[in-house]
Amino acid sequence: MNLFDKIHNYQLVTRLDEAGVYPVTSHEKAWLALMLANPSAGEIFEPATLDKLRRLTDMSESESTEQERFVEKAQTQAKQLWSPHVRTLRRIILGKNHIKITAATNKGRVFRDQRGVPYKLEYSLAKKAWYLIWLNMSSNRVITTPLHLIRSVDELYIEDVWYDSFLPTISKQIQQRKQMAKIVIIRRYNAELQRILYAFSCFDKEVAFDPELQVYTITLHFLSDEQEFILSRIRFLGLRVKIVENDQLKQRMAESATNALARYTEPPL
Amino acid sequence: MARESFDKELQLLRLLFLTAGAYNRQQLAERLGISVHTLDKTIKKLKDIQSTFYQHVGDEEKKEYYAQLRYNYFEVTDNFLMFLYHAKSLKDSEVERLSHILEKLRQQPHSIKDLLDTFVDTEPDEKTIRQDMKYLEEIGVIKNVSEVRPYVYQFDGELLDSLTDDELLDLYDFIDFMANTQLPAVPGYLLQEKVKRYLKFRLKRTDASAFLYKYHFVSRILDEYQALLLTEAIRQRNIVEFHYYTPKRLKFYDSQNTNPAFQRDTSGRHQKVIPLRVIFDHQYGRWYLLAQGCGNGPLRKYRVEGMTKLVTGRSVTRDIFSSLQASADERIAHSWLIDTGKLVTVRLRFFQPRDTPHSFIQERVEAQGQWGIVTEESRESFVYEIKVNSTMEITPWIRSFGSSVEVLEPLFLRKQFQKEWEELLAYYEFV
Repeated sequence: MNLFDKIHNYQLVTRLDEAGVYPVTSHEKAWLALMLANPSAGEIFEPATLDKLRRLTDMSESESTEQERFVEKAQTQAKQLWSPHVRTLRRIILGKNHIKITAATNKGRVFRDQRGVPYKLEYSLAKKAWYLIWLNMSSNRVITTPLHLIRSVDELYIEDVWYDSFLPTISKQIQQRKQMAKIVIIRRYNAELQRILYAFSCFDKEVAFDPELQVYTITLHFLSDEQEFILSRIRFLGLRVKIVENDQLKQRMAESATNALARYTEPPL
Repeated sequence: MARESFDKELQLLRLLFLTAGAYNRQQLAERLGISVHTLDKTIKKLKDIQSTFYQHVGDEEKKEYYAQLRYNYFEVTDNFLMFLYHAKSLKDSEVERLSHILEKLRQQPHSIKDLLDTFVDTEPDEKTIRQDMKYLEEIGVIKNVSEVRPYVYQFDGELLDSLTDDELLDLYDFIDFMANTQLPAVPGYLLQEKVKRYLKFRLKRTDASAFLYKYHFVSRILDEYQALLLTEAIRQRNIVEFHYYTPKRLKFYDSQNTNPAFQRDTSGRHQKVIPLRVIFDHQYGRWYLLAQGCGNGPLRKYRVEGMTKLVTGRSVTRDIFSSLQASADERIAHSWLIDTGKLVTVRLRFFQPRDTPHSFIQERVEAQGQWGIVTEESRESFVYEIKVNSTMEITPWIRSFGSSVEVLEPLFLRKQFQKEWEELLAYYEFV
């Protein structure tokens, strides 16, 4: 089935939505069946639900469009796709309730029975790991905790309005952590423009182009805790790009280059 | 009617998304090989679709072309390029008819005759309705429930209807997660959109999403359309033809002008090949096609984004195809991405981080190092070894580790790294 099918036409979808009609195509069922074959499906669903879904998507004369699989290269292997905390936490977020959480931190410290406002569950495609973004009520700080470090979570029932009253604080803190960096593409690499832009396509960014000088400048917006990943991307591209604005990142690149170079001044071991 | 093509829209969205505000209308039109007038028309069409489909796009965002396409990480959790897949055009009368049929069948089963009677104002002819029913049955949204004529049709809502609220929420999360992390994604996003609307309808929830996906190559879905057509061609061993724009030309598309006076000589090169493998590169979020030219010749590699006017032709025999595919598989068995260059052994020493109990460098090497292995290990460092087709494609990955890695072998790569770090240091020395 062609992905551009008329059943997906925006006017038809909107119209059917008004009438409460949601037609699921066999092509979509085939996709679901394929995904249900993934071992992680067993971690996500209750066994009875999984059985039910497998039965409902079982088509003998299945549209085997996806049977010819793609070859995937340079994939980051995930140890585990899912975490049992996802299901619990997403329901607490949906129910707009608070949490009582005990978790370790990356540096080894553990905090116990902290009350907090769960905000979002975040999955990093670079690290293949889940995180909880939440507001710690005693420190009044937004914290990102990897789910694998969570020891226990309990739900504390509260009024929706109370939950909502914390949201401005959370977005304010996230705003305050936003950083900016300007990166230019070194002109002799302009022929690689597309590749370079693809490498930055997973970030929030703007691009400016100076037609006189034929120079592209990428402005990246990111949160302070993303700095390490940004740096690894910039090193990834090597000589093609240069940071022109953001002293901290420039400093780090200088250190990196100095230290890396030091590894080559001696012959290999 | 000619087959509706979305090449232009796909290329425009890609260009807007990747270059994120870099070009003005004139520059965009030039790079797409279309007139400014066509560009404006195409953008208007996309905006119409988007505003009908996503009502949450605010007025102030509509000011600029790009503003609408900007990824607002904490606000918009859908893949915001997905609306393109809802662009297939449909006549108003057809929208009317199809939605009427589905609404009626959703209420109760009908025969075609009964259905015809339910049209009040304008009754379509029976032949048209039969065609509609045939189409709806083919795509699996309705089914015939009687064994004898006259056939009685029923809406197939079993999948969603038979789930409890709780199960539905789990299903929604599952689809959301799989569509955002697995391939292919587009059928999943299409299904997700439906389940999302259904959840809202059933649970009276305004928003059920709780997940964010960080470092997501959202634009990968723009090529999935062609990637899936190509896998289908591979499955059926069909030859394909297309026009190809190499990525270095900074040109994405060319309008098909019927007037020879406007014919451009810059249009992509015509290609006719046997497709063998579709490859997704997770490093850049891009798609490739591996193919064999008709009438022998070398193995060819194409970037799927550079392909337009893709059409499928006749098929080749199973024997020929299998042997070509097997030899292609062998050629890329040691490709970091798709390089088929000379096999070389790369040995690297990685240094464990200090002042932390977490060995995150080793974790990353093990997760991303593909078929390479760790050969020596100590508290301070470990050695990783991999046989790979030329060092070109693995180099950026090695370099991304900065000073946490040292190239041991081959010697030329070691020298190359030394030179590169010298030059990079010069970029930042006087900060």
